[in-house]
Amino acid sequence: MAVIHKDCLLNCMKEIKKIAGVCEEMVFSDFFRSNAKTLRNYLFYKFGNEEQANDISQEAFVKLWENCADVPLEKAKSFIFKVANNATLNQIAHQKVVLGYAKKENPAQHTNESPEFILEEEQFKKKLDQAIQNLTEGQRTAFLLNRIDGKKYSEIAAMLDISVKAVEKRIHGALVSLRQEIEAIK
Amino acid sequence: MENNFDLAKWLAGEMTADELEAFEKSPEFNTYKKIKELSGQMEAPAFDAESSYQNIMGQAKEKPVVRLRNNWFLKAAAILVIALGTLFILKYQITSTEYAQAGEKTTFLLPDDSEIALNSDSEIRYKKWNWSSNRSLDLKGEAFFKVAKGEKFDVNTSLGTVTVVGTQFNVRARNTNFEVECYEGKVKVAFNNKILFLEKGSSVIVRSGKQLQSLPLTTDRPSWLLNELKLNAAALNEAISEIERHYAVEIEHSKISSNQYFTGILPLDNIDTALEILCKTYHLDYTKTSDKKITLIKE
Repeated sequence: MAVIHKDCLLNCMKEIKKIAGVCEEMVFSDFFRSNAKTLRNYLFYKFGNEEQANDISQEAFVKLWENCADVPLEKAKSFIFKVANNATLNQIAHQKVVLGYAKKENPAQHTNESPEFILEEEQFKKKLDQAIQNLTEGQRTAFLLNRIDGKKYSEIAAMLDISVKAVEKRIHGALVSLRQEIEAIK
Repeated sequence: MENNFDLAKWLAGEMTADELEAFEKSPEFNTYKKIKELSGQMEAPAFDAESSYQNIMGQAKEKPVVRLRNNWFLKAAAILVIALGTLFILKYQITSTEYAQAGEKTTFLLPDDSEIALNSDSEIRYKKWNWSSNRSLDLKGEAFFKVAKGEKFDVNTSLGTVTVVGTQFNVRARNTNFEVECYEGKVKVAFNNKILFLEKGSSVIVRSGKQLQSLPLTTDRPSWLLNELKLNAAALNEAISEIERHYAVEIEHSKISSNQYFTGILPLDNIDTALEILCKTYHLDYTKTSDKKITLIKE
């Protein structure tokens, strides 16, 4: 009984959101919290410029809010990505995409590793960073959206307005390039 | 291997067990494994969602408070408003007509609160639009006017025009008879290139273009509003017409004619008495052939 209720509630919320539309601030802020980081990261992966990624993603949401009456909720995601992509058309010079590393999940494991291992890993990381810079924009954004933001290929396809097959091609290409470059530098 | 984008499948964990086994045996596997592992630990720069959101709400231009979700609603509403507005304007532009049928009397107000009482078989036409600045109407028949103070007020008939400023007066324009009685204030009467001014208690009678002498008025309003028909040297035909009009009956009188004029009062609430008086004066007899038809014959 309780399970049915929960599903019903979720569906009801979905329907209400759909009908209410993005002009409802609650719906808008909800949408923002679910998608802003992804959009900003995507732009960052593209150009490596954090400040401009922040600015452009903000712009996109401002435009969404201003045009809320014309954008149904289900089209909102592709709307902001489209706006963001258009904004970058004449712009930003490519910069190095600087990514940090999260602490390893199991610190205990880390301390057991030998210094050589740690050093090797540091070196690998450096090579990986460099190799990521040299990916094509399409490969880099698809790859990082999957690895860092955990987006499925279907989600990435929707964001970038390409087919799932195209996403797979980019991911595959990225992995091959990365390996080749890392192994060459060795 | 390339065309199937196997590496993408592997990364997503979509390889079959067999494919996976084979892949793990390949020399490149280690590198790929490491790539997968380390890239999974990567992070993008921190994102301050809260301040970003504040910026957005601050930047967005003044959003109209009432934003209609569907354009069609706006359009429909706009069309409706325009249609109503047009109808409204047309209604006021078009000439309004007020009339009293035979046997009826009606009263109504003009947009400036002037009062008009219409006698039987009379009609008034006027334009509601901009009435206060252009108080001009057309009269056919007879009406009593109580004109509100304002700009000049014109009553146009086929026989002459009456112009007033804030008065009470009666105008009768029937056939070739034009009569104006002033009960209050001042009235300007124009007919046949003549202009007259009437003051309270006086009247003008014009028959076939000729002005006749008139007696001072003794009441504060026309007799027909008091349910009496006052005739002043009226021809028999005229008296008969008035009775027909007022009582909404047909009086057959083709065999009757007379040059004798009638001056007197006929009741408007009792057709028999009215007919009797008339008959007595002209030596006539009358028979009711039906509810609405009367025939007059010589005695």
